[in-house]
Amino acid sequence: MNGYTQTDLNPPAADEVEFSLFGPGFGECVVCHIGSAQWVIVDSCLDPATKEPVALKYLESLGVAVDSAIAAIVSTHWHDDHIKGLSRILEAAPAARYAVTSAFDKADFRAALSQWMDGSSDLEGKGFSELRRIMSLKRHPILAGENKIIFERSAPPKCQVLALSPSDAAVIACISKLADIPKTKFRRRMPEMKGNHASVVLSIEVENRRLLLGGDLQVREDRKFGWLAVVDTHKEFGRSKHHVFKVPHHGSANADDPEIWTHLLELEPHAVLAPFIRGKEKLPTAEDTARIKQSAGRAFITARPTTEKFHHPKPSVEKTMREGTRSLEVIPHRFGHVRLRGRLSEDPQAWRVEHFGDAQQL
Amino acid sequence: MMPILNWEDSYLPQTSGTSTDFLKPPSITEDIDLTLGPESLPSKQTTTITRSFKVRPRNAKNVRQETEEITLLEKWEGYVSEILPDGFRANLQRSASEFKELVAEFEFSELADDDREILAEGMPLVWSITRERRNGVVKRCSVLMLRRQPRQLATKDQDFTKQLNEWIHPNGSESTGC
Repeated sequence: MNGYTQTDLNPPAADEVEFSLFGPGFGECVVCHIGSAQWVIVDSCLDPATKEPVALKYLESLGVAVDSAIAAIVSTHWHDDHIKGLSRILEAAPAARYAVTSAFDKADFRAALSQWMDGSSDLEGKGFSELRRIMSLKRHPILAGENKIIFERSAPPKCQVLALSPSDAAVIACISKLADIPKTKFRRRMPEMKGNHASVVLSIEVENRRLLLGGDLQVREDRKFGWLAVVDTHKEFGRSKHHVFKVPHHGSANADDPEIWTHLLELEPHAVLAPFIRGKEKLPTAEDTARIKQSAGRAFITARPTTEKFHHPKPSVEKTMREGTRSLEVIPHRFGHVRLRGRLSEDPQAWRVEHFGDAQQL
Repeated sequence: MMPILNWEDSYLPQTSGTSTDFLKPPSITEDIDLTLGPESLPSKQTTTITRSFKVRPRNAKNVRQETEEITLLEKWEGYVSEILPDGFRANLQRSASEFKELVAEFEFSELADDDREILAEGMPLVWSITRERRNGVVKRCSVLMLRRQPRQLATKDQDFTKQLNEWIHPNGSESTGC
């Protein structure tokens, strides 16, 4: 892979936990080493240069036997920026467990979703074309909802991958939102669903090291939904706090609450996030960055949350394009990787942090 | 009755043109006298309907080249990603194989009235930049159009539902509703 030295591509030791977040500015993918040469992949995005799934490229470059070493693959939710290349990962890892949001368990959800499936990738979007490819692989998924164990290893080092969301109430809210999207006379892509009710949040525990992967779950006022439901369940079960936080929803304010930092995370955890640069508002904003830095011990981002200026080789064409628009932005080919590694014998708050490509400390 | 000719504007002879073919008689003209019978018009009134045909001179191809030329300079395809209070945003790519993506923000006024009526998040669109040479005058134009494709049949929805059901519950065990 580009941007790595040979030393960077040494695989982690058997007793070493790794958390890696990849993000090209649109999309994110988490790759975790859970000890004993086993790995978990959460979501998928493509390397902008090669168009290969970043998780596969990275693991292959570490010399990992992808076909046997991946214990679990999880799709947190079905947005385009979390799903690209997932079918190729599933093909490459036939032994891995595969988990999707428990919303798929509901017939109403499936019926509502199928109305947006079209059979042509350009109209239905990458998310649905990936879904159709995955369905054709006949990889029947585990349904990940509140308190569902996705993967467990009892042999040392002990490991558990546990889903903390969505709650049943959140799934119903998601179905309702999906059904409420107005139908139009003409075909169109499914609009992005606001709220991300059905996003899967994961807790990965390897002996004494714990990672909290926030998916894109947001905060809702009603404690039956979103992050506050996760907080309440966590407190109810008396679970331990986490040392590393994959910040949800690209660091947006609507996915953050002080209760998350108080009840789910150790004091001054490591926070890592990927930006989102396709919207009018780029995430994280300057306020988001300040807020995250205040709560986290150290915080890192996989790429700068900015777009690039548009330039056309012919100035006259560029002038016409600018006259026809209010703004023109190019989604850049930036790509970054933040990697945290820590041995099980060491202090679980201590992590060796490296960042590659466009990634940087917040 | 005099034949009625309706020359399409673009085929009218231009002062700068050199061809005299414009002056030749058109190849098609038609007048129709339609006398309706007593059943439909008790007064036996005679009505004349004159049809106008677009008339193409014999060397219309040459005429078009002289009077109007449209060159496509750029074509971007994508979809409406966000509707704003005073405009909308679109994600665009030059071709499906090209990874580079453009995000453009447009005024509503960039769309034709009938496109504005059906504008919705997720609608596919095409943005073309053209160079138009008309009557010797060259200008560049930005043309934005929504792609209108009818919604798929309900039977196709049912096919996808069935595939999803089999994927989630391969043995037929089915959860119902919410």
